[in-house]
Amino acid sequence: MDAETNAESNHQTESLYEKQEKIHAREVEGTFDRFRDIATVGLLGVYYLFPWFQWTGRQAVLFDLPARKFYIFGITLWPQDFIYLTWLLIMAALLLFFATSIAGRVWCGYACPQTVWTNAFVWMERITEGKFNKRIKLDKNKYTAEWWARKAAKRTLWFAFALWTGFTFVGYFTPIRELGIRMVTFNLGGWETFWVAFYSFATYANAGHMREQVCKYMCPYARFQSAMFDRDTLIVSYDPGRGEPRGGRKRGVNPGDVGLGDCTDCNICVQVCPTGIDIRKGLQYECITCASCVDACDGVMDRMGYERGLIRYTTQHALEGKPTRFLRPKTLIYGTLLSLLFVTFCISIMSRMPLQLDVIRDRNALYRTLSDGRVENVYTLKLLNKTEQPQQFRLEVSGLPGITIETDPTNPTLEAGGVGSIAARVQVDPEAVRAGGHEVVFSAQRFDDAELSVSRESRFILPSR
Amino acid sequence: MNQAEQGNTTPSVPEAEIPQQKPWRRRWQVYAAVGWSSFLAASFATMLFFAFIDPAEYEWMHGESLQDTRMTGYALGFFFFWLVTATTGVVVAYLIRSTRREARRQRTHDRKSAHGR
Repeated sequence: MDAETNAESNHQTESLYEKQEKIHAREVEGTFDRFRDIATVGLLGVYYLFPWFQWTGRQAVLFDLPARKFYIFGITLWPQDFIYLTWLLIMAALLLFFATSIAGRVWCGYACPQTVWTNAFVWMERITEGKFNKRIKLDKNKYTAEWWARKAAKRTLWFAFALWTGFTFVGYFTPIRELGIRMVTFNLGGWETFWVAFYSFATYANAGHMREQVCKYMCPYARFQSAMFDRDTLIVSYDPGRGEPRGGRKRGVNPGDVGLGDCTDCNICVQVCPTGIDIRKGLQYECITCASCVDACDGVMDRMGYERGLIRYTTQHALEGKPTRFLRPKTLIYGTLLSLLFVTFCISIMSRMPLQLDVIRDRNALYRTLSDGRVENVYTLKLLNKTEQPQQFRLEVSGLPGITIETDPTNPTLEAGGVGSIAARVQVDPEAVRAGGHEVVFSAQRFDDAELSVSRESRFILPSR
Repeated sequence: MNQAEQGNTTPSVPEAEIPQQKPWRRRWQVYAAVGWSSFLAASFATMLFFAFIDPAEYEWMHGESLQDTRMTGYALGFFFFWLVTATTGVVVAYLIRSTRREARRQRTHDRKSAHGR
C-alpha cells in the first residue's frame, strides 16, 4: 500500500498496527465527545476553583478537619451535624440509582472523576505526542530525540497537573491560600506534604496509566449497575436489525443491492472503544457508555451517505420496536424517595438550630434537702454555640410547679463556636409534688429574644417522705 | 490485496490488528480490586469514626499542637482502617481462589482415578 492511499483514507492504518501494549483508543470527534469535553471543563473547573472562593472573610468551601468544622458557603457544620453528611451521601447514592435506571451509565460516561481526569490526561497526551497514528509511529522509533522530547513533555505536563490536583485536594481541608504560600516557600507540614503527594500520585496513576482499567477491574458500581437496568434503560447499542449482515462495500452502494446491512464492518467502533469491546456483540459490563462508538459510527454513516444511528443511545424495548416507558415502578420509587429526602433535608438544614444543649445529672448525689425544706438536684449543662457570633444566653427550667433554677454564671456568654459547662442547681417544693422521678425540661435561649433557643429533657428526683 | 486497494472507502481493519491494552494479569486484578474497594470502605469508616471521636481528646497523642495531633490521628486512623479492610479483602480473595483450585484438583483426581479403574 503506498503513501497516497494512506493519505486518501484517513482511517487506513492497518500497516501500522502491531500487537503493542500501552496503546490507547483512537480519538474521535462528535456530539457526545464534545459533550464530555464540556462536562470535563465544567466539573474540573468547579473542583479547581471552588477552594479559592471567599465567603464573609473565610474560604467558602472548607472542610476544616484540624478544627473539626465544615464550612459550605453560609453553613457551618459541626461533628454533631454528621447526620447531614450521611443524609447527603444517601441522597447522592439514590440520585445515582435514579439516573442509572433512566439513563444508564451516564455517570460513567461523563461525570465520574475517573472519566473526567482521564479525559484531561488524554488531552495532554494528544498535545504532546500527537494523534493516534502519530503516536503509533512515535512508539515504533523509540529512543530518538523526538521520542524523548515528546515523552518528557507529556510526563512534565501530567506531573504538573497531578501536583496541582493534589494541592487543590488538600486545599479543601486546610485553607488553600496559606497552603499555597507554604507550598511555594517549601514550608509544608509533614501531613500536608504527604497528602499532596498521595493524591497527586493517585491522580497520575489513575488518569495517566490505569484509565478505563479502573472501570473494568476495580469499580464496584460498574459491576452492580446492571441491577438497576431494565429493558427501558438508556444504553449504547448497535442495531443488528439494520446493520446485519455486515461487510465492506464501496461508497454510495445501496446495501440492499449487495445483500448487506448498513454495517460496513470497518471496526472503527472497536478502535475508538476505551475499554476495547465490540459493541456489536451486545451490552457488556465493560461498556461505560462513553458513546465514542456512536460518534465514530455516525461519522462513517455520514461518509457512506447512510442514515446516522446504526450505533446509538437507545433502549432494549426501542430496539425491539416497543415503546419505551420512563415512568415505571423502579424510577417512581427512586424518584419519590429522592424528592422526599431532598425536601426534608432542605427543611431540616434551614430550620437547623445552631445551638446544642446537653444535660448531665450530678453523679454524686441524687438530691439534697435544703434548710428551707425544698429539694435540690444538681446538673451540669453543656451548651454549644454553633453560630458565627458571640451570644448571651438565659437558662430556664420547667415541668414541675414552682420549680426554680440557679446557674453559675446566671446568663452565660459564649463566643462563636464556644462550649460552656454550666453548673445548675434546680429546686422544687416537695409539698407540691409527689415523690419519685419527674421529667423536667431545661432550655437555653438567646438573652434578648427567643429566636434562638434549644431545650433538653432530664429527670428531677424527690425523696419519699 | 486489501480492501483499500479495491477502492473501498471504509477500510476494514481486521479485529486481530486493532491495538488493545493487554488485560491485566489475574493477580493484579485481584490486588487492584482489593486495594480500591478496601480504600473506599476505609474512607467511609474513617469518616464515621472521627465524626464521633476527636483524636485530640486522647492523652497518648498529646505533645504536639492541637492541629498536628488531629491530623496525625486522622491519618493513622485511616491507614489502620485501610490495613484492616485490605487484609480482609486479601484473605477473602485467597479463600475463594483456593476453594476453586481445590475443587479443580479434586475433579482432576476423580477423573484420573476413574480412568485408572
